[in-house]
Amino acid sequence: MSAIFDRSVRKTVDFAYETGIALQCGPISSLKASSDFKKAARQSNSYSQVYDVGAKNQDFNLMLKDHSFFQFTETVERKDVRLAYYPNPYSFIEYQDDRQTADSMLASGDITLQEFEQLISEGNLTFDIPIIRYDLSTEQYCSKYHPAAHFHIGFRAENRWPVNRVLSPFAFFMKVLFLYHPIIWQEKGGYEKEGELENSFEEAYIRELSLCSLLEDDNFQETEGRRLHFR
Amino acid sequence: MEKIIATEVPPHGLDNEILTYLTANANELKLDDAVVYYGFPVFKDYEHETIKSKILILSRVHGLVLLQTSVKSNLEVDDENLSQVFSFIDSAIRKSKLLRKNKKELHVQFESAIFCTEQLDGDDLENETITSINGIQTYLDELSHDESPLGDEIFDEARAIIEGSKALSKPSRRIKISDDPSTKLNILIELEKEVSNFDIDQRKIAISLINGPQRIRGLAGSGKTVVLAMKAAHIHLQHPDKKILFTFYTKSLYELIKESVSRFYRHFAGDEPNWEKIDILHAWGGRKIDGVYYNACIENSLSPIAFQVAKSNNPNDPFSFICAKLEERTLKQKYDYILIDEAQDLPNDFFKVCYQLAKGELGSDKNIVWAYDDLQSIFNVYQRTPEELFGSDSDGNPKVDLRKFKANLSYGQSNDLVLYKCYRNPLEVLVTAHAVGFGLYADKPVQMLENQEHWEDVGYTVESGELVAGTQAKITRSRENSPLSIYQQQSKSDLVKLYGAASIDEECSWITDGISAALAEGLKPHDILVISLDDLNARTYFSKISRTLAQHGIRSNNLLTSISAAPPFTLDDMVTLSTVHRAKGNEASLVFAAGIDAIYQYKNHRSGRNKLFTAFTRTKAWLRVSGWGDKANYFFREIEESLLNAPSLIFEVPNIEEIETIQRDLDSKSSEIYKLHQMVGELRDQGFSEEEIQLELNLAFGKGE
Repeated sequence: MSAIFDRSVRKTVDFAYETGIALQCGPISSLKASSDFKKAARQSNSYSQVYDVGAKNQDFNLMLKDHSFFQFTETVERKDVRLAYYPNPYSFIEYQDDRQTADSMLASGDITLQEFEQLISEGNLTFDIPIIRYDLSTEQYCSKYHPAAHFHIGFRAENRWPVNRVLSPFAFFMKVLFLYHPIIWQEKGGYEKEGELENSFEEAYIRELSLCSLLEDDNFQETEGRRLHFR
Repeated sequence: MEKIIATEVPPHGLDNEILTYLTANANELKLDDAVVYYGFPVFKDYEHETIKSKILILSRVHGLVLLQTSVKSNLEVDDENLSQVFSFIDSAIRKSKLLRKNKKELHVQFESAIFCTEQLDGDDLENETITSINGIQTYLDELSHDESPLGDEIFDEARAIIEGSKALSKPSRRIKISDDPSTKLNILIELEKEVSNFDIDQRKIAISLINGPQRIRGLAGSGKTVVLAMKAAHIHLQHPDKKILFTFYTKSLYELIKESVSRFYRHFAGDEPNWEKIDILHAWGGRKIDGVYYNACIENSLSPIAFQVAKSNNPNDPFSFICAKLEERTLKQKYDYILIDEAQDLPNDFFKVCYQLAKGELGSDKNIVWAYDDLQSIFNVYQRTPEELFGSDSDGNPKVDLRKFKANLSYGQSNDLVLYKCYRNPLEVLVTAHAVGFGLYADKPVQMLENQEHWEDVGYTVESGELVAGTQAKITRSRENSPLSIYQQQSKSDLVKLYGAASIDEECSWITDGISAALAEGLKPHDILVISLDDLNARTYFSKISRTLAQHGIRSNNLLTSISAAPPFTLDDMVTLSTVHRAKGNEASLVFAAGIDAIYQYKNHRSGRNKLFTAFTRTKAWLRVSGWGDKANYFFREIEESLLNAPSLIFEVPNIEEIETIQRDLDSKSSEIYKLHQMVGELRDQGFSEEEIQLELNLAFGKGE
C-alpha cells in the first residue's frame, strides 16, 4: 500500500463529501475486503447477493447516497490494484404505478422501517445496472490472453477490456460518476464561463487522468496497442 | 427445595414416586436448599444417541447425586446409561478450575445410584443400588457432610455448569491494561463477569418444560430472547424429532437467536442442531426471506397478500390485516412447539395464526410459549391478555386460559412466569429511561402503569402508600432487581452525560471525541453504539460521523447502508450506527443517543416517549445524550431530575383516564401530521429547499415578513 494510493482514496472521499453525495465513509486507505465478501464474489449466483454482502459488512471505502459503493484496493504499488464500483441493484421499485423510491417513502413517513423492509423483500427488483471493475495485475500478465490492466464490465465477466494505464482511485471514481451519475455531474459540476457551459468535474477528471501514467512497455506490448483498448 | 422439571414426569411411575418422596421429606433429607432436576441434563454420545438423566440432586450437604430408576428387565441398559450421564457431568464439572481441588479430586462430591424395587440377583452393576424408597434416606445420609456444606461460590458454579450457562456467557477476550478499577475497560470486564453469573432465573425458565401454553413476561434486558433460544435448544435436545418454530418481530435479531440456539445446543450435544427441525422465522417474511406468514400461505396453497394490498386495506397495521385473512382459513398443523419472541410487537391475529399452526386439538394441548415486555405493552395498540391474543372458541370460552390450564401442572411448575431482574442496564439508567419514557418529570405524564401490582411486576416497590390520582407517589427500584454493581465505580454523572450543541457539526464532534476517548480507555469500537433519535436526519448524522471516525482510522457499521436483508448489528472493530428501530433488542456498552431535539415535537406522544425509552435502554453501562438547543434542553431537565431522584421515581399520580383521552386525541392527530410530513417530502422531491418550505409554512401562520 502506498501513500500515493491512500491520498487518492482520501481525495475521492473528500470530493464525494464536498459534492454532498456521500452516505457512509469506510476506511480512507486501501481496503481489505472481508472474507465473507470475497467468498460471495466467488460463489454468488446473482449480483444482488454480492452487493448485499458488501453493504452488510461495510466492505467499501465509500458509499454514495444512492447506496452504490466503491472499493479501492492496492496490494502492491503499480502492480496489484483493484478498483470496483457496485451499483445499487434495488434502485427503483414499482409501487402503486408510481416510480417512487422506497427510500423517499420511508423518509416522508409514508411507511415505517418495518414496512419498508417488507416492501423491499417483496419488491420486483431490477438488477440490470452493470458492475464495473478495474484490475491491474502484473503477476497474471500474458500479452496474448491476459492484459495486465483491464476493465471487467458486468457481473461474473470473464471479459477483460485492456487498459494501457495505471488508474488512480480518484480517476476511476470520476469516470464512474460521469457514466453512472450524469445528472450529478452536470448539475454539481457545471458552470458558465464567458457564455460557455463549462464543467469543473470534467476539468478535475482530465487533470487527474494526466497524472495516471501509462503502463511500462513490459506490461503492455506493442501488439496489444494494435488491438482495441482503453488508453 | 427447588425443582426443575425438564421433561414430562410419567404420572404413576417410580420417578413420580421418588420426586413426591423427596418433596415431602425435603427437611428430613436435608434437601431444603437443594436443587432437584428431572430429565436434565441431556447429552449426546459419540454415536449421536441422546443420553438423558433421570433425577439429579445438587445439594450443599450431599454434593451431586444422580438417581436412575429402573426395572429388572432393563437393568443393564439403565446402568450403562447412568454411567454415561455420570461421565458427561463429571467431565463438564472437571473443566471448571473452581470445582477442581487437584488433578483427580473435586470440591463437589459426586455419586450415582440405580433405584430398582425388584429383587436383584448378582452384583455386576457399575452403580450402587437402592431397593426401596426408605433406602434413599439411608443412601443420602451416608453421603451427607453436615459439618462442611458447599459454599455459595462452589454451589453456584456447579449449578451454572450443569445448567449450561457457561455456554451462553461469551468468554470475554478483554485483557486488563491497568489495575485501576475505574477505567472503562476494567469496569466492563467486571460487568461481563457479573452478567454471566446472574442468570439462575433465566436458566430455570429455559430448562423447565411444560405441556400447553406458557407466558414469559419481563422488561427489556431481562433476557427473554436468550431464554427462548435456550428453550428451543433444550426442546430439541429432549425431543430431537419434534418440529420447533421460533418467531420474532425485529429482523435484525435473527443472527443472535440462531447463534444462541446453536451455542446452547452445542454445549450439551457437542454438534450442530438439526436445522430441519428448528425453524427460526421472522413473523412476516417475503419472497426472499422465509417467514411464518409467507411459509404458511405457501404450504397451505394460498397466495400471500402483497404488502401494497395490505397497506391499502389497513394503513395502520397491514400485518394484522393479512394475518386476519390467513386466520380465516383452516391451516395445517405443523409445529410441536412454537416460541414467540417480542410478542408485544405482534398483532393478535398473528397469535391466532400460530394457534392454528401448533399441533393439538385444544388450547391446553398446544405448546406455545410467548415472551413479552410488560412495559412496552402497557399502552400498546395490541391487547395482551391470552384470551384476547388467541380468541375464543365457538362456545365463547377463551381458547387459552392460563389460570385454568395451570391446574394440569404439578411439581410447582408454572405457565405464567416473570423475569423480574434486569441485567442489561445500570439501575440509574433504567430508572431514568422509565422516568423519561413515562414522561414523569414532564408537564404531564404521557403514559402510566395502572396500579401497584403492575409496578411490582416490573421490579419496583411502592413506598408512598396507595396510588391515588392527585397524590404524591414515591416508587423505588431495588438493587436486587437491577443487580449490576457498576454504581460502585461510577457515579450517576459518569454513567449519563448530556450535551447541548449549537449545530449538527458540533454535536457530531462531541460524539466522535467521546468515541476516541472511550477507545483510549480500552473499549473496542464494537462496544460503542450511536443511535440517531432523529429519523429524518439519521443519514446526515451517520455520514458525518463515519467520515470523522475514518479520519481517525476508526471504522463504523452503518446499519442504514444495507437495504435488503437485515445487516449484522455488530461487526468486529466497527462502531455501530443505528436508528432506534434497528437498535431494538440489541445492546452496547457505550451508547450515544443523538438528535434528541427531534423528539420534541412528539414529547407528549407515546411514540416519542417510547423511542427515548428504547434508545436509553440499549446501554449496558454508559449513556450519552445530545441534541440542539432548547428542544434538547427540554429533555435534559427531565433526565437531570430523574438522576437526582434515582433509584426512586417521585411524581404526582395522574388520572389514567385523562391520559387515555389525551392519547387517543393525539393518535388521531398524528395521522394528520404524517400527511404533512408526506407533503413536505413531496415538496423536497420537487426541488424546494428546506428554507423555502419553512418560509411557506411561516407565511401560512402569518409569521412571514
